[in-house]
Amino acid sequence: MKRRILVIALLVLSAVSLNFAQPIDELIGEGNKLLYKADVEFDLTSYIKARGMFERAIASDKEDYLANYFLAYTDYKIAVYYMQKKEKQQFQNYIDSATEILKSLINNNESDAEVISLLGTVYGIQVEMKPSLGPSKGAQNVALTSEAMEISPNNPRVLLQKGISKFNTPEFFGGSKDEALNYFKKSISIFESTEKSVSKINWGYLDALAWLGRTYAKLGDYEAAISTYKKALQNEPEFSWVKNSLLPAVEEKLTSQ
Amino acid sequence: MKLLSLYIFKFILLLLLFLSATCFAQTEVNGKVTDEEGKPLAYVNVYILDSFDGSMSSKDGSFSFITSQNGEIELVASIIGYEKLQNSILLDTLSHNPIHLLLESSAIITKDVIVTASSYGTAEDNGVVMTSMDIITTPGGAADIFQSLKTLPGITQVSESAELYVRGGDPNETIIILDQASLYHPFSYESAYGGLFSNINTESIKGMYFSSGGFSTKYGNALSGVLDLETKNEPDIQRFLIGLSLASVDISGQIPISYSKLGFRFNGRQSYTKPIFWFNGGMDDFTVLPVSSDANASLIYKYSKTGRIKIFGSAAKDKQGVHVQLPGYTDEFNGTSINNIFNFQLTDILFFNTVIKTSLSKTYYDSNWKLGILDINRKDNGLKFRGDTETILSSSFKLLIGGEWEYRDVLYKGSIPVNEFDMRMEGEGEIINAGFAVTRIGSYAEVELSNLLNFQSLFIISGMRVDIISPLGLKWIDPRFNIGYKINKDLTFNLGWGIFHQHPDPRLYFSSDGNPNLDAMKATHYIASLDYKINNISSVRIEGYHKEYGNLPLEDELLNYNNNGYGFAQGIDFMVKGDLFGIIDGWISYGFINTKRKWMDFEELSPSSFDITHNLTVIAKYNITQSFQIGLNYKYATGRPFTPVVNANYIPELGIYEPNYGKDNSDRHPTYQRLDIRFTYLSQLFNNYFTVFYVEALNILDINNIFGYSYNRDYSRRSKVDSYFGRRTIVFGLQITI
Repeated sequence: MKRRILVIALLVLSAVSLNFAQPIDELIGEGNKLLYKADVEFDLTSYIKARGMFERAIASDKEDYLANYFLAYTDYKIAVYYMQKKEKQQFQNYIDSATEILKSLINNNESDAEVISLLGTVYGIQVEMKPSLGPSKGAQNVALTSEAMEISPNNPRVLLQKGISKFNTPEFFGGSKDEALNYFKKSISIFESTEKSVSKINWGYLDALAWLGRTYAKLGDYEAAISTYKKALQNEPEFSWVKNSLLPAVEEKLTSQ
Repeated sequence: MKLLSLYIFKFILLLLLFLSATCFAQTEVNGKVTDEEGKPLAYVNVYILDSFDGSMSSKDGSFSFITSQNGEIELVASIIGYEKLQNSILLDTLSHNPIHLLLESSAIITKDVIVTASSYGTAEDNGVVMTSMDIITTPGGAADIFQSLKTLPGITQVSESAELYVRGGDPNETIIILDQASLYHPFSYESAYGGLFSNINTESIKGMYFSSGGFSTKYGNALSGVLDLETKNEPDIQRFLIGLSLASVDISGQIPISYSKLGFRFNGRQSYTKPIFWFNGGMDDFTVLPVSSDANASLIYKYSKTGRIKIFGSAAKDKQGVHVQLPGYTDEFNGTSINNIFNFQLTDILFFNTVIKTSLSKTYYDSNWKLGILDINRKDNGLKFRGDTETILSSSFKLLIGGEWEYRDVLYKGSIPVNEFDMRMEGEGEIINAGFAVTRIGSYAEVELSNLLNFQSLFIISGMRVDIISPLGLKWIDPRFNIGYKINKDLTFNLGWGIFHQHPDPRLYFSSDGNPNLDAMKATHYIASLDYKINNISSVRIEGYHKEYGNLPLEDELLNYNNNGYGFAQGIDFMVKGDLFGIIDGWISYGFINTKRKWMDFEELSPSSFDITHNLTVIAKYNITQSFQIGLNYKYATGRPFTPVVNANYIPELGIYEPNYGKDNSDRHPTYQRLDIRFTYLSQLFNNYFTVFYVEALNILDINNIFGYSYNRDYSRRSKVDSYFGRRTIVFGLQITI
């Protein structure tokens, strides 16, 4: 009898949970899986699919923080994709979308380092697309990544984006490859010492390794670059940025030396 | 008991099964997404609003998903680059009719197609682009908007003043607009030769649009050109800028009070000339060294996602005293001016597709000029309301409607010489106290059509405006038309035609020495232009134009002035902008013009005073290292026409000579040439402050350019009067950003 009651209870629970699971989280979770795949493969289709999941989550709850954040992040990555394809109009479309979402998130909370640093990075990428924006957008990138650093100096993504900013900013405007190196190293050590979780913001570890490798390569330390890239591939053997572009480029340089 | 509980168990089990069956009563939603031309759209996010059901369209535009919803649902389809679509659909479990979703591309795409003739702007859709960076780094431009604009084709180098002489037009024929407000005196150091610099701080400007002809019906009461400026919006980051040079001290700041919602900006500038003249010589020419100060502040409030309120205030004042060579003696010109602007602007988007902009502005200007018997106070006050709307009806159809109401009150008070040639203190003077107070009501409607007759590359801008000025009893209707054809992605051909009216200078309406019944001046513009985009940074534009002037004011013995004046202007403008060998960045502009007028005191059709046949400007900037830039600005212009003095008669009762003039504008000043060089060094102080050091050598070749001539007592000898930069002048300074 007791067992039957248990069975009934379980059935009821499962029926209820089938119909009334927390679908926003599910959509976000689903979107996150696609996003991870997209980041690894740098694949537009997966990005756009992930985008769909986040957009649907937002359609149910406009204010959902994670859905908005991930949507902005996805749009930023899609913009990066179009930047490499040199499709100016699409690039601008996604940049505009990401900027708008991030600005409204900042409106709700003015001291969210995750959001502030991501907006800084979105400004930064525009300078990469169009260097003449340096004086305006570049300065905003520097200011926002610094502000995020003041708020959360131990957030590995904030450190990563500060490093990217230092890497890309021309030296006379305060850029420095050496400083970038330190930011990436610190970011990685924090990533490695904290636990991963699934539904929260957790991107960045692979990127930090890739950027650290890039910085080593730029500073001429090809061996350190290769070992950093290999470490990234141990974590994610299919990480396409490192596997298909960064690593082969450095290996080529080393052999041509 | 056992049996009963078994029944109950079975019953509950059954109930649960039934329950979940009803819960999972499922409908398939499927269909296809396409764009306006029926092309399938992939990766469109299709979902039911307020539910979690949805999917993504596949490569052929088809989508399908299962939903447990039924009844009326809201189906949403969205993808970036297209307008979001939301349709109410009745879901029926039985029928599975495929749904066709048609998405319209976002309006932004239309902008790409339209390039209007004769226009230059900071926005990419205006064809040839001039950015604020171009303004700041133009050598010799002193980071001044107007001085930098003078490097564009279509603006003739009549003098070194900042005034805009557009394609043979008088500076009064170009209207200057700031956030919808009219600016009639945006200059400091205004004198008979025009103002030297603008009193609008470049730091406060976000964007500009400049047109040298054939412009939109949005702009009225302007015969020749338009400069439309827009001030900056709410700042994202806090920043302060301090500038220090031989010529001025500048302070600017931007402060976000609430991120993306409320912000404050201010700019202050105190200019002084003593160090420049001390360093470069020339201090003796002045009795009061020119000084000016201007300040502006704006409060920007973004009250919703689309709505913005901008409150802008600006105040400027200046003074100068300079020795003037008059026939046989030296006198002193003293000038002061005050110029204030206040503007309240509201912009918003209505019904998702209409941009509305309204502004209420008040301008105040007061100046004093004194030279011998000439002692005049001028006031020019304005109050204006303006509303503009832009409605995007489809991706190929845009409608612009707007109107303005403007009150302008101009007052001249003081004494003027009776005889132009007798400026002496003891000369005969005439008391003047005349005013001009008018109300102008203007309205316009204009359409922008692209994708015409299914020709994606054909576009038309056509509009009409009406202006009524009371109590002058003036009324005019201006139709304007522009047709463009994009021959290919990079090559655009444009034809423009339009009628433009403007009332003559307020001074000519005074009943004492003018004619209150003067009619409006009229110009007809014909323009043909070709734009070629060489690559992302380089472009070429060549343009030919012809302008007919009619109804120009002409001196008349009986009426003082009549409307029988006429004239024409025609020429070719050429500009190439971009980079050379990938390292030198800059532009070359050349304008050829032939313009004649019979107006004012001219006796016959003669070259107008703005007939500068050849105008050439070369701007080149080269980055020696990442932080070191050298730039040069070379200007060549035909000398301006002037009416020479042939001889003079002695007038015993006055004790001075009266000059007799030759044919109108039958002589020319020497050719104008000037080379400016600028070195800019960018660096960083204390790891945090960006600094810009610069040294600018104006007129480095020390070419003796002239303002005009002064004469001896009996006009038998003339001597040159140096222009502002008639000698080599060095300026250096630095700018720190905190």
